[in-house]
Amino acid sequence: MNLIDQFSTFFGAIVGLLADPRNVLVMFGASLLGIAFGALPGLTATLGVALLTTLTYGLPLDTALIALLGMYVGAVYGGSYPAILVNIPGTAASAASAMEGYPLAQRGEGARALGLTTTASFIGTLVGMLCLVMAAPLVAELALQFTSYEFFLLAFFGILISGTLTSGDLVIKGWIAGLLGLALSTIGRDRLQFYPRFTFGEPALDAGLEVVPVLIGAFAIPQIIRVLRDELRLGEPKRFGRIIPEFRTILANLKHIVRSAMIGVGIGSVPGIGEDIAGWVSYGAAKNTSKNPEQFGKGAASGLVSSETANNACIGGALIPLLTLGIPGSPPAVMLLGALMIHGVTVGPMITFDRPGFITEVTAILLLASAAMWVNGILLARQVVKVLRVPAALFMPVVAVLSVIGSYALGLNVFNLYLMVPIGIAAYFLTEWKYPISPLVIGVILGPMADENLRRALMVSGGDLLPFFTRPVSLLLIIACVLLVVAQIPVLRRWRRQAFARLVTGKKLTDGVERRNRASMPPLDEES
Amino acid sequence: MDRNRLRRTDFWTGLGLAAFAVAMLAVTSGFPMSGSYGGVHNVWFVSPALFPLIVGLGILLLSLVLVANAMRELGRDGLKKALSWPRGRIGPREQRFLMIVLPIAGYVYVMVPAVDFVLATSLFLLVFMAAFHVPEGRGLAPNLFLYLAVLTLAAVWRLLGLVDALADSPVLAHFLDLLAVVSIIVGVWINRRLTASDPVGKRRLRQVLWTAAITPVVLGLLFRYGLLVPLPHEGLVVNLMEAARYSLRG
Repeated sequence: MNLIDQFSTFFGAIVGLLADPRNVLVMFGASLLGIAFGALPGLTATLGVALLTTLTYGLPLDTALIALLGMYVGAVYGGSYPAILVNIPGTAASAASAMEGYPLAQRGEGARALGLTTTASFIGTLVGMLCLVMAAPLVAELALQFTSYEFFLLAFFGILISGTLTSGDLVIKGWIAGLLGLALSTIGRDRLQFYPRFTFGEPALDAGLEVVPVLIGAFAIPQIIRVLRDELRLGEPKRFGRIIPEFRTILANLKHIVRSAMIGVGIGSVPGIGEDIAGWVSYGAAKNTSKNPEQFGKGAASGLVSSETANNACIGGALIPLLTLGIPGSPPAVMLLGALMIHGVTVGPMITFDRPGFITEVTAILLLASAAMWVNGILLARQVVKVLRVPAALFMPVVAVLSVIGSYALGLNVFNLYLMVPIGIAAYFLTEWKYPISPLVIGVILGPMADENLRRALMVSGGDLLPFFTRPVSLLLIIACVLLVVAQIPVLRRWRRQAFARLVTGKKLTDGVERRNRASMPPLDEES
Repeated sequence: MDRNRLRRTDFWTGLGLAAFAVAMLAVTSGFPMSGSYGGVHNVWFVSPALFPLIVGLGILLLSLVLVANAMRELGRDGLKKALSWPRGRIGPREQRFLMIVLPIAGYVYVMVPAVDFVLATSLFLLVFMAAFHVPEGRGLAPNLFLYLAVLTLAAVWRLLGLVDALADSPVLAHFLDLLAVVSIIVGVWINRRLTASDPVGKRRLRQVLWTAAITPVVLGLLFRYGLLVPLPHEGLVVNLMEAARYSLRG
């Protein structure tokens, strides 16, 4: 498809979507719901997409995607409301925004801060969308060269890197979480020989674990337990005036915006890590490159704009590997993959053949979702802020009920509920013990792909392992996996940190400085 | 969680994961590695055991590394302390954890499969929200006791097989639904008494009652008639909805 064809498909898709008033209604409704979801601390973008999935499976695919992407974009942005007005980030993605947004609100500039985040989030989503539309066809074309060898290694690499990057404590905990996800994925009859594995004679397990109840259990139940256990209460939100888009400040921070958008897209495209890390990294980059770093923490507009641009740009980045390789780039994208599976869409390299124009259509929906978010943000912020007054003790039990009915409704199977609860409780304990959950759910999703492709590859080679090392992409992936593992050896990690510090500062990093630097890093929260 | 405590936990979780991996490998060893299954002649690389073996060995290896790391970081004294773990009373966090998990588990395992969805959800929301929303934690114990009593009765009723045995009885066929109705009334009465002399409590109870009444009805209507999803158990209220629907249609 050439560029002109792509543009005509793109604008055709926009016109087609907007021609149906139901789509417009769903777009604004889902975006508003997403903002409210993101604004409520304890509710996350992942959970929002998960719960909405259960309500959209009866809708046509394009309407369902409008709802889900509207929710995703809105929730990532909505987290900035409590971050700015109450100093409690609604989602982990907006934690960095609280550093600058709350001081602004304290100075009586809450409306300005909200205007900045709204426009920065809009620009971030647009840049992410542009990167998606440009990079996705290239990645998909490259992925067409992949065979079973590469697909097995790609799944393995996805789990390994998400385990490495999302672990807040020891890296091996992330890897163990990924392997546990793979172990769960082996339950049920195997796809090549139909042999029942780990079913223990239970017919309900023959088809394996359904993805959506596992995802809802792993993300919703730990969240419900944590919020009610800690009796999360919010302070009174700071008052604010009329919100304006703040284009002048945005223009003055253009270089921060461009850099943050690139950071966001880059981080978003790495499997399993998402908006929270993008927000912090771009905030750090803005501070390090600022002429006035002393202003950071006191209401620096550049810091706020950077973190908000990056966390929304992450969405487009996360969709690149999702659509082209079938590997989700962030926790909400994991849920989006589940939703696409329900709608019968198989994402991956064949997407451009199976559904030509699908990527362009998703891009068009992303544009509409970000426009709806911007309009809602500018016009309805005052109304949305009212949800901050809803106590957690009221909305968390409702979330529990939605999780139950949602998990049941997808397969009309009460057995899914019986699985959801123990998986949720196990996920709660794993997060308490500092095991990240994202690699686990990515393992559940990518497990069948890894299993099937490994055996298929070995069948082709007659059990010979050599082709894994003789095929260029396969060899590259093996090298990447080995480097990822080897880089975690303590001696090498210390050496790498010192080398990096020398590169950046030109000085040798002492152990004390290294420890201080590590202590000042924000804790990683794997779910945004 | 402080670092030492985290390592003590790592020590035990590592051992638990190693045990899980060994069990996984033991079950996997029973899968056909060679020979014929379903007309397919097996060789090691197409065996359904191959992938679980790799995963099981990976978990075993990493969990042993986790244990070794915990032992190295804890040192001799720390390890002694770890070996004496767990000890002590259940703390407030653990109590609160149980108070959250028990109602959710009871709702899923006992109520949802056997009680009318609208009634089961209404009761669950009433006790769960009142337990945590009534001021100063006054609602916690009475609401949870009420719910546990209902769960016990419902579980016994189901375990005795009375649901099927009394399916044709005009009144007792809906015993669990009626139990939920009575429990909702008792729950409202208990919570009204708890908040009788407290204006803040009264206001919060009103919020709880409205949410507990409206949410299940809206969800029931949305899923049953909007998405055409049959509810997990359809009893008194859903039958009533059906009757109303047909009478409205004439």
